[in-house]
Amino acid sequence: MSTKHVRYSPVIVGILAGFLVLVGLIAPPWVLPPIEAVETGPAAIEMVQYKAASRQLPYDVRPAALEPADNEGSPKASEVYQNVQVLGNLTDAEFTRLMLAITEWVAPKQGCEYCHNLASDQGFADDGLYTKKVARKMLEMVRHINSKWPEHVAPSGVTCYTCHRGQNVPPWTWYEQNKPAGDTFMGKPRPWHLEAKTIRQFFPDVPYDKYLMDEHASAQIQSSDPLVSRSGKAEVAKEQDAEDLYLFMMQMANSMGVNCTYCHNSRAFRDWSQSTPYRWIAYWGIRMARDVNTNYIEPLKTVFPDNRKGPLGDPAKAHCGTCHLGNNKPLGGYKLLDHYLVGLTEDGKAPDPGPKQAILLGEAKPVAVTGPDQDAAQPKPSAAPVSKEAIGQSVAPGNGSGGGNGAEYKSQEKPAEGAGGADLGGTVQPVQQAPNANAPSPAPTGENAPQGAAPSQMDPGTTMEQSGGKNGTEGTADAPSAGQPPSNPLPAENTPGKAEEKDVGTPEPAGGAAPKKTTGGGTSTPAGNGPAQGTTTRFD
Amino acid sequence: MGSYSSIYNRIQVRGPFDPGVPLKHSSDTRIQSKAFSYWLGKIGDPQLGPLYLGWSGAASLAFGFIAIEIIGLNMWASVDWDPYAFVRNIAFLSLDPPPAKYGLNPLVPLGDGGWWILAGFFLTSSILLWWVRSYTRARALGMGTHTSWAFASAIFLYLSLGLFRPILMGSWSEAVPFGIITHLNWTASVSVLYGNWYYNPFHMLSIVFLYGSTMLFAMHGATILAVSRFGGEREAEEIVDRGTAAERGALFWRWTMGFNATFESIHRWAWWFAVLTTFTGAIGVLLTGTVVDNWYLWGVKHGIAPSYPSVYPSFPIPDEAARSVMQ
Amino acid sequence: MAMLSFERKYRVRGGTLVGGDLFDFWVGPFYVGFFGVTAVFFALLGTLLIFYDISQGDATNPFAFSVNPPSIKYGLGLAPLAEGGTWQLVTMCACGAFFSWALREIEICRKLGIGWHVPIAYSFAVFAYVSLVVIRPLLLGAWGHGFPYGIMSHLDWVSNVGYQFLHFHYNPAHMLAVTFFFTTTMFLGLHAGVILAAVNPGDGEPVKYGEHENAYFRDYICYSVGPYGIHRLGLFFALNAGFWSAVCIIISGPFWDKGWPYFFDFFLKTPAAIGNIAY
Repeated sequence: MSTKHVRYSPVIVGILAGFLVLVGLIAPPWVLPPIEAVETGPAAIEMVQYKAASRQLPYDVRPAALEPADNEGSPKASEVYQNVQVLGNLTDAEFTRLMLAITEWVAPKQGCEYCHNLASDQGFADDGLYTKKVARKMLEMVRHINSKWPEHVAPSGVTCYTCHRGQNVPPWTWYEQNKPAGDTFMGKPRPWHLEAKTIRQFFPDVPYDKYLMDEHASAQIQSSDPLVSRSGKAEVAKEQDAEDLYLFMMQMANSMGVNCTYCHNSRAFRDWSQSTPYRWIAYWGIRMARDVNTNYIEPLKTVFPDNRKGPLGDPAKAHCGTCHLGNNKPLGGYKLLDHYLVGLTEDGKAPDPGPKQAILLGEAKPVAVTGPDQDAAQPKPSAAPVSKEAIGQSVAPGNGSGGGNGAEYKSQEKPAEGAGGADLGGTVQPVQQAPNANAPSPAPTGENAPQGAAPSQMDPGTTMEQSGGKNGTEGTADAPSAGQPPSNPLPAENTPGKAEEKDVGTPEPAGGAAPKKTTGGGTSTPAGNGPAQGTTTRFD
Repeated sequence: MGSYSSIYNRIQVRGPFDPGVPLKHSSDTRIQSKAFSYWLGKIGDPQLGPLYLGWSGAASLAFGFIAIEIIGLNMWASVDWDPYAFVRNIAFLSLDPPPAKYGLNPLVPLGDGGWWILAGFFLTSSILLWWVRSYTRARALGMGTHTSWAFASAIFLYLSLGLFRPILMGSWSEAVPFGIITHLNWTASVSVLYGNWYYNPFHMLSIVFLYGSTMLFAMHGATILAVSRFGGEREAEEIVDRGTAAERGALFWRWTMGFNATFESIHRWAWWFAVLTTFTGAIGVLLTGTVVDNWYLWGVKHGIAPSYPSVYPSFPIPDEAARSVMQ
Repeated sequence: MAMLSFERKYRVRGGTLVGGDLFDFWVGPFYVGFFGVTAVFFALLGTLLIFYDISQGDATNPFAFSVNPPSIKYGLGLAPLAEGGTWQLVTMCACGAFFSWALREIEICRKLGIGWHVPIAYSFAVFAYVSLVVIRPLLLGAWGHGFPYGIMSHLDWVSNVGYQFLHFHYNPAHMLAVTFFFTTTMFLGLHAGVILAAVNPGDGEPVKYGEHENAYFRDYICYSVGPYGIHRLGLFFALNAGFWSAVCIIISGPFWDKGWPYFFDFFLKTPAAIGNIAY
C-alpha cells in the first residue's frame, strides 16, 4: 500500500453512521423535559403518569354553550313540529336551541341539511336521510348514557360533542376486521398493516371486537391459584387471548393518555385491592362501551350507507378513545352537558355522581404531583369534580349575583357565557377552530391526523375563550357544576344580567355586546315556523 | 495504554494466509478459500476462512436455509408479495404457531400454522446438526467439547420455548411465533398471563446470570486488554506457564476486591455463568403453566412480596351481576 | 499472610492519585489508598443506613426488605428520613462508594502498570446506576423516580416502569441493550468454551494453544476473531449493554411520555411509508 493511498470506505461509513444518528434524533417525535408527573400509587414503585408539558391533545377545542333558551310561553316541540320522537317534551325554544347545538357539534359545515331533507314535502319532519335516523338513535344513546351510566360519566356527562368534536363521524372509532383466516396456502394477511397511518391503526381491531361487544371474551386471564390445579383444569387463559387483552388494554390506556399504572399495580394486575379507584371507573366504562356498541350502534347497521361501514359491513363503533381522545377525562371534564340537561338526559338531571363519590369520596387525589404548573395541568386524576364540595354545590344553585333561577350561574371552568352571548350574531356559537378544522369529514377510516384542529390550551381555565386572562385555577376544582340546568325555563330578565356580567376581555370579534338581547331573541323566535333554514349558520 | 488496545485495530497485521492446523480425526478436508477482510481486520483477525463443511455442516446449512425460506416466504405472502411492504413491515410480520384448536396435532393446514411446524422442524434440525458440528470439529482438532455443551444449554432454552413446553401444555399455540415484534408481544403477554414473570425465581436467576455474564466479560475483557502489553491475550500459554500478564491481572483483582481468579478459572466462571443463563431460563419456562400458574401469588405464598402503604380508601369490587339489571 | 507467591515483588510504592504515600498500603489482600478509605466510609455508612431503614419497617423476609425512595411530592428536595430521606442518603453513599471504587481501581492500574480498561468498564456500570437514581430523577424533577433498594421491591419498580410505557420491549434502546446482553453472553460462552477446550483436551491429548483456537472457529464458523479480538469484542458488547440500558431508561419519561409502541408513529409517517399510497 502506498502512503498516498486513502481509503474512502471508512469515510463513507462514518457519514452514513452520522446520518443514521441524526435521523434517530430528529425523525422520532421526542419530547423534552419538563415532564409533568402524577403519582397514582404508593411512593417508591413508580405508579406514575407522565405528560410532557408541551404535549397537546387532538380535537381539544371546547365549544361555548348556547344562550339559555327563553322558555316562557314556548309551546312544546311536539306541538310545533311533526315527527319529534325523542325530544317532544322540550319546549320549542329549548328544542331549537338543542338542534342548533347539535348542528354545531356534529355538522357545523353542513348545517341542518346534513340530517334534514328540507327539499322534501315534509320539511324537517322527513326521515329520508340516514343521518337523521342515526342522529335520533344517537340522541337516545346520549340520554341513556347520561341517565344510566353515572358510574362512568358523572359528573360531566356526555354530549354529542364528546365524541363528534365538530366532525360528522367521531374521529376515533373502530370496525370489525377480518381476522387472518388461516385458509390461505401461505401467510396470514393482516390488511390493517398496510392501511395503517398511525400505530393506533396498526394494531388490529380484533380485541375491540372481542371485549367491547355484549358477547365478549372473559378478561379473567390470570389464575387465582399459585399452582396448577390438581384436577388439571386450566385456570389460565390461552396465550392468544392474553395477547388480545394486552393489546386492548394498551390501546385503551393510550386513548386516555395514561399508562397501565393509572389503574393497576402491575405486579398484580388482577388484584383489585392493589388497584386504584380509577380501575373501578374504567370497569364501568368498558361495560358502557359494550352497551352502546351493542344496543345503539350495531342496530344502525341497516341504516348506514356502505361508505360509512367498515370492511365487514358494520358501523363505526366506539372504544374508549372515541370519547376520551387522549384525555383521561374527555375534554378535561368540561361540563357542556349541564347546559343541555333537558334534552340530553332522560330525566333532566345531571348524571348522579353518587356512585363515583362512594368510590372516590374525594380522596382519590393523586398522591403527589410534580412538574411545572401542576395545579393547572388539566388531565390530572384529581378528585376535583367529584369532591364533596362540588357535589354539594351542584345541588344548590350558585351564590352569584342576581336572583332568579340559577341564571347567574357561572362556572369558571367553562367558557364564559357572556362571551358566548356577545357574538351570537347568528344562531350558533362558532366553535373556534383553525380554519381548516372544519374540512369535510373524511371517509370513515378511523383516525385522522389531528393537525387540523387547533388544540386549546391544556389547562381548563384557559380554554379557547381566554376571557380576561387566565381564570383562577382554584375554583375550577369545585366550581358549581350545575345549578339549575340553565336550559330549563329561564326568565327573560336574566339575559341582561348576564351580558353585564361578562363580556370582558373576550378577544372574539363579531357582534359586540350590545345587540345581544336582540340577537338572542332572534335566535329563539324562528323556531316557531318553518324558516329555520335561515338560522342555519355556516362556518367556514 | 498502547495504541493496540483501543476499541479497533489501528494497524492491521496481514500475514500469509493460515491454512490451519492439520485435522487429526476427520474424513473431509477444509475449503481453502482465501480471503482477508479490511473491516473484520478492524475488530480482530482479518483472515476469513478456511471453512470445514462436512456432511453435518452442509445439512445444517440446507435445513437452516429451508427454515428461513419458509419463514420469509410466509411473511412475504402476508403482504401479498409486495416487496416494498415486505421490507417496510419486516419487523411486524410473523409466522404464527397453530391456533389452540389444533392442540398438538402435527397435521395442521399449512396456512394455519402448518408452515410454523415445518419451519420449526427444519430450524431445530439445522440447530441440532450445527451442534453436532461444534462437537465433531472440536474432536477433530483434539480439543475438549466445552463449547458444544455451552451451546447445548442455549439449545435447551430454545427447545423449551418451542417444543418441550408446548408438548407439556398440550398445544402448539403456546409456542413462540417467528417474528421480530411478535415474539416480543408473546413475551409480554406470557409475563402478564402467568401473574408476573419477575416473580419467577428462575427468571431471577437467569437475569442474574445474564447480567453476571455481561459483567464477567467486561471484567475479563478489560483485564486482558489492560495486560495485553505483557502478552496477556495468549491465555492458553499463560494458563500453562504463568507470566507477568497473568500475575498482574490476578493482582489487580486481588488488590481491588480481595479475591482473584486465575487465567483458567476465570473461564470456568464465565462458562458456568453463560451456561446457567439459558439453563435456568429454560427451567423457568418449563415450570410456567405446567407447575405454577401465577408467579406473583407463588411469591405471596412464600412471603417474598413486599407490602406498600395503601393510598386509597378501600372500595367494593364491582359486581358484574348487579349491573345486568340496569342494562 | 495473604500474599500470593509472586505478589511481593509487585507491592511497590507509587501510583496514587491522591494522598501520596499516606494511604499507600495493603490490608490483607486489599489495597487501601485514599479512595479505599473513602469507599469503606461510604459503603459502611450506606450499609448501616440500609439496616437502619429496614429496622424501621416490619418486613421479616429478606426478599421483602426495601429502602424506599420518597414520594415525588418532595420533588428534588430532601425528604424526612422515614419517608425516603434514608434512601437519599443511601444513594449519596452509594455514589460516593462507586466513584471511590473506580478511582481506586485507577490507582491499582497505575501501580501495576496496566491499562485502565477495568475502571473505564466499571464506570459504565456506575453510569447505568447513576442514570437510574440521579439522572432520570433529575430530568423528571423528583427523587421519587429513583428505584427502591430491595430485592422484590426493585422488581416491582421495574415492572411498573415497564408498564408506564405500556410495552417496554418496543423501546428501541431497550431492544439494543437486550441484544447486547444476549450477544455478550453468547460470546462469553464461546470464548470460555474454547479456552477451556484448548487447555482441557481430554486424556492423552496435548494441551492446545492459539493456533487450535483459531482453527476451531475457522472450521466451525469460517472466522476466528483471534485471542485479542474476542476480548475487545466482548468488552465492547458488554459496555454497550450497560450503556444502552442507561439510555433506554433515561429516554423513558424525560424524552418520551407515552407508550413505546406509539413511538413508532413516525415510522408510518416518514418517506418509508410512501408505500401506503398504493393501498
